[in-house]
Amino acid sequence: MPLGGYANRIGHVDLTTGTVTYTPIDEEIALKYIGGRGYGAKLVFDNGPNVEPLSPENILVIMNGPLSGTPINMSGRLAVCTRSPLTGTITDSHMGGWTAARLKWAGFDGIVLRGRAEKPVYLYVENGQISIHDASDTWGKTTHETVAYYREKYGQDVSVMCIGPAGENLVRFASIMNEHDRAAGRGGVGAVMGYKRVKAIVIRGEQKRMYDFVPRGDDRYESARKRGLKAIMESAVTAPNKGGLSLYGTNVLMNATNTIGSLPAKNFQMTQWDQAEKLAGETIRETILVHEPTCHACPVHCKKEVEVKEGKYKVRVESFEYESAWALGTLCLNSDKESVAYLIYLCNIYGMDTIETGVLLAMAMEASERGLLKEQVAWGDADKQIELVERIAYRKDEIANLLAEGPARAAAALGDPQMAMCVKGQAIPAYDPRGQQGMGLSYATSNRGGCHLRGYVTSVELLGIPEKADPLATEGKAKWTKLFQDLHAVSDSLDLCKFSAFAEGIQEYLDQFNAVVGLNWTVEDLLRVGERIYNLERYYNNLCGFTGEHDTLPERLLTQPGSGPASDKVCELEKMLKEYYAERGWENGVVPEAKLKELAII
Amino acid sequence: MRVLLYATLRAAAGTREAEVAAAPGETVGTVLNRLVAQYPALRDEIFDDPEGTALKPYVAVYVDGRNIVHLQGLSTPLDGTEEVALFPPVAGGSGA
Ligand code: SF4
Repeated sequence: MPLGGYANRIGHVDLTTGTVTYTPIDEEIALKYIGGRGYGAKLVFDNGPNVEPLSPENILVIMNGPLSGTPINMSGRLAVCTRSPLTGTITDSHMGGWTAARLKWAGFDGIVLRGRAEKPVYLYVENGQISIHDASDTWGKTTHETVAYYREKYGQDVSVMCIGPAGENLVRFASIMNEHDRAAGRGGVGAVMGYKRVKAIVIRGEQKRMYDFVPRGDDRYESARKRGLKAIMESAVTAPNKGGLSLYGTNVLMNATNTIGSLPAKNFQMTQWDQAEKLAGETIRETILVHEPTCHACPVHCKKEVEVKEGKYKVRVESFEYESAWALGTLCLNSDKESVAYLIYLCNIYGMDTIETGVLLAMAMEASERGLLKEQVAWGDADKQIELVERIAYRKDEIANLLAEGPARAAAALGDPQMAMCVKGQAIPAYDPRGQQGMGLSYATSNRGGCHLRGYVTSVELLGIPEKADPLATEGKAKWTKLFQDLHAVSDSLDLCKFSAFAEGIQEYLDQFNAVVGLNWTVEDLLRVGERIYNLERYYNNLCGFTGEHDTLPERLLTQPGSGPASDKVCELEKMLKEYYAERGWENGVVPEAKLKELAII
Repeated sequence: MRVLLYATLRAAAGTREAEVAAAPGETVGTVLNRLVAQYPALRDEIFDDPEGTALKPYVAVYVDGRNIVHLQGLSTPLDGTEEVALFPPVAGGSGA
């Protein structure tokens, strides 16, 4: 019997030859890596480590999980997997909205892009078929203009995944956007799409098809789905219109991290900032919030759409997220919410990762202050930030061209690589490892470079889910980091929104997965897949030359204390790292052959 | 002393911060009970019992940025100069 949940079809688009072929899901891969991130990582792995990220040989995998687009709650996500032009590691980035669902309803588990088109193209996906079309009408347009153009052409009910000018201009941290403001933001996946000259993927899928992929009426399925929903409806975090995430969005965190001294400010020179309240979720709700959108099958509605009604920052934008507001605001000492909303909008329409952009601008401010960058970029200068974002998206001049390479390459070229607050070349997000020791380990050992979503240790360090761990302590953090990394590898492969973890546990994931796919796995089976995925990614990176040497943090975090509760703390990485490698069974960051065999990777 | 309120606790109390009397040596529990006497709507948001002896799960109380679960819980002594911050369950990040 075929596995449930899957559409059992992958489209392979060879852009060089302009041909499309189709294959069913490879059951062996599905049973070992599930789908989404895991399945995508396996395809990138099989494509080999010796491919230049920006070359026809690299592949871009857009991959659903078996739960994506089904009636299972919070299942509106897909993974974009490739070798990153920003880090050189394997990477995956996820997007919400309705694209994943519509891709499934159009009859696909995934699309694999190979080669490079001669001229800009877009793909049209409907009813199990993919066609390639000329995109000269939209090349050069912003993401919002592109979405509007294809919705005008194909109807308002299509999803449009697209790149903006930053992706076209191979900005190394370009994002892929959908539904206007939803991003697969990290790792430069938009630059890979831009290199391949694919402007957009337009997807039509009929909503009623969502029931085709689940065993409707089956007791096991109905009860698993309902239990998942109940957990979401009752969780103090996710409960609609009650929980902190639902009411204030992700930006409910700004005041919380600031309180415990883990809010990086001024390019990580401080870990607390007395102006943070001005950008916090509570303030946004009271002032510029206008709408609270959601994703496919999600009652949480964590998206916070804001509007600046007049003035030079007049804008309406959907995603005043914590990470975005922090990077473009707090980290650059810009406390003006209106200009921050405008900056988020600019990053979205040009198609640039907000985290990377903010960390880059903060680095430029520090470099300018120290005289390393020969241009005045003052802390908190919103208009300068806006000017730079525009110049970078189009690589308009020499400085913009350098910054478009990302903070790590730019800082190295400016003379001090330590100004770039990155791990493996990717910007570190909004939890300072001096105030949250476990996040330091999580960043350092992340397979895709600086990232809060590989192992969200914040869950125990700040929220207390599933238990409370002292954020300033190092004890136990190795175990938590491994567990969260493996667990997220699972949810990213199902593919469920990670915020489901604030309400659902591994048991809920397992029950829904078993019921939809038609298996009888155990919790151990599922976590073993998570571990396998994490090790496969690590092995790929090892083959690309990454070792324990790269599992580190910028010097500042290891030698200079933070502020507030973290004022006498540096990140004690070495201690945790040793324990972590022991937990993983790795030798200096490298997966030994025995481990690869144990996990049936080779 | 200053008690800062965040997220839904602000809405419940109708204020961002409260001034609560605290003598040196008094505990966090005493101060919080004084707080809910001033703002009765907070009682059910913070405490699990009418006597005010146990916090609701996931409600976080910080004294100068340190969660009291990593100090001495509600018995943590105060000298009256600290800043107390109260959070309901919060979580987030961003999903990309
Ligand atoms: S919690 Fe937020 S990001 Fe996650 S599925 Fe729901 S609306 Fe989308």
